[in-house]
Amino acid sequence: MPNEEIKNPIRDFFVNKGYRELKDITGVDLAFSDGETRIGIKIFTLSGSITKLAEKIRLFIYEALNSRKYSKYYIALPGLRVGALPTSREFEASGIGLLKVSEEVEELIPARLLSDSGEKVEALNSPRIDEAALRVIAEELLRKNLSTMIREAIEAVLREEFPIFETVDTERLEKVIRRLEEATSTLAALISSGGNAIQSSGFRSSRSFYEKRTNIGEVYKEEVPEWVLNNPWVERIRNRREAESEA
Amino acid sequence: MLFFKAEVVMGVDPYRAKYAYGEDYGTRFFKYGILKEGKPRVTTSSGLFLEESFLLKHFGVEKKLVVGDEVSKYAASVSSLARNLVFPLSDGEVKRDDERAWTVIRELTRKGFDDFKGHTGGDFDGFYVTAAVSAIAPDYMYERLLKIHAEIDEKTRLVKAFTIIPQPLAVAIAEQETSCLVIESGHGNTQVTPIRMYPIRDAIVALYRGGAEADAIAAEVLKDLGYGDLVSDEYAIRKFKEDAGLVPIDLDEAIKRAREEPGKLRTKVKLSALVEVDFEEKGWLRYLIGEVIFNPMHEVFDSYRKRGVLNIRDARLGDEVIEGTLPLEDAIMRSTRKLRISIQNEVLSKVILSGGNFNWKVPENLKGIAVDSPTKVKFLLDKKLRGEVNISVRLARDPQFSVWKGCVTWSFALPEDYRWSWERREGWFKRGADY
Repeated sequence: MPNEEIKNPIRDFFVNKGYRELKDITGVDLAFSDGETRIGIKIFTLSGSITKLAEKIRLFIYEALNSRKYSKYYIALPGLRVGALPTSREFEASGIGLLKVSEEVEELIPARLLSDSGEKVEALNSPRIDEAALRVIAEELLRKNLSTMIREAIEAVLREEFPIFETVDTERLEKVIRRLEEATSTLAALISSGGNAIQSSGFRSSRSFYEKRTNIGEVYKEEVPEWVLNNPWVERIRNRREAESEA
Repeated sequence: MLFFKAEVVMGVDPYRAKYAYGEDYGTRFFKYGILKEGKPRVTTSSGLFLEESFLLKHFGVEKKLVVGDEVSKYAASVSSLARNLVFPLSDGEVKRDDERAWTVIRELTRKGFDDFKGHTGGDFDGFYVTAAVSAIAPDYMYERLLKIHAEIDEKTRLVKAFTIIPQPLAVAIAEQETSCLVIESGHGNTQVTPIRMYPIRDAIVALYRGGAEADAIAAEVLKDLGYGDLVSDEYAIRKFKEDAGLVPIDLDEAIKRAREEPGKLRTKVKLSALVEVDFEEKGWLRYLIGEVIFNPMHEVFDSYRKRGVLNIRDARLGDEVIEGTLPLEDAIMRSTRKLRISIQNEVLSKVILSGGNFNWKVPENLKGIAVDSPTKVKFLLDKKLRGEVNISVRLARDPQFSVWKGCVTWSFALPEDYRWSWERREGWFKRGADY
């Protein structure tokens, strides 16, 4: 049973949007209504293996689609456990939304009205990308100069720690491994903080961002190649009208 | 290759991302396929009409026509290849009344769609298809291609909408250049096309020469070296051309140097484990194979012309006749002069060479004498313009597939409501509206 620490930010999130909490709930952990739309929230926390959690989430999606007791459903996760999530296509196909819960709540994937045949995607909010925050992240990455750190660590292996390969000193080897670990964990932390900062900065192109991080295979299936994406002709062709033909 | 989600990043219909389809009708190869695959499938532009054969029937073959790469499987089953084998495109065009050629084109087109039928989902309602043809393709080619695609859709519902663009435009799109001069040189022709948002039709200059002429010279060189028995083998000629052919920066100088130092150019070209061609003292002949693309008017080709090897026909564009033997730099000048003065330099500042005909090797020991195609074209233009224009010349990044890439990009982005117009020769020819 999810504790109140997780539920409270969700309550705040929906109440601030004009919803009131419903007391009589079925199959979900929280429910809200604005008089027209009834929203059911199911909270998932990691108590066993990631695989089990993924199974539970999928099962809930099927049950929700089957019962349709609420007109919209959200899955809420305290912290984004990428490995536990169904693919974004499954979210898209089902219409179930995704909330990330920490001290605040972020709507990563908007839920769709189940009774609306999937025609409308109604985002609860959609702030714009914060370019300044992105710039800060980029500058931070540059300042740390990760490639230099990693190169230095590897050079240390080759130059300092193993001057003669046949006399490997276990203690020194451990030191080198620790140094490499430090470099890689710094890298991991920076990537993670970069991701968090992007999200907290209000970058809400949630589906594409989420998909790129979670399931490359799924993205690949419905892709456009880079040479199309970055092509200045695409915009020109899209705007092509009779008056524009023949320069 | 990097890929991105279509509808989020670009606001484009994701249906198009899945079902944008391109067709490049080349003289030698037909390249076709969907955007999602990132590159086209390639098959030979050929068809073989099968004769009624008891043996074929015995093996369950009821077909009357096979096309593309299947041709080689059945080549031995017909009594006369010359009569039954059809290369539908000649110099990038299909003759108006050559019904057998049009039958092959129809079958190649249909087979292309067949190959991709299995790549569709439940939402499939037909491909958005863009075909590329020569920049000087006549109206009847457009008419026939529109008709063929409509007929195929009638039977298969595989073509939701169809359109045609000129090959040089497709190259400019693939190369992401909106203002440039594209020189597309394939097997059958060479098209010089200034682009500024769209091909400037009045300034297109087309030459009916291309890889076929280089093949012809390569075959003659083989004969002159005493390997006449190989000239009936198309593969041998092509391999010989590709391995031995060189582009000299200055043909006269290159020949002079080659005669002074014949050992430097001596080479042996291995065509198979059993056959090796030795140039001995005639290494300079290697330069002729590449030079013919650039300047078949050079006196060194006189003897070939007299032998009837270089029968290059002239092109007619409106009232103007363009000699097929016109040196490439003169063709570029003729095209550029037709542009407004204000854009001449801009267009010349980005020259893109595309097509398989500009790929030539530069051996390390011949650097400075033998060059790549961009260096040659820049040299010719700088000489012509006395260095007064800042010219840059580069090869297309993906010369073999750039036309196809341009086609699928066009299919991907062209607005749904932009309808086909004969005046513009542009827009979607659509099921339900036009067929």
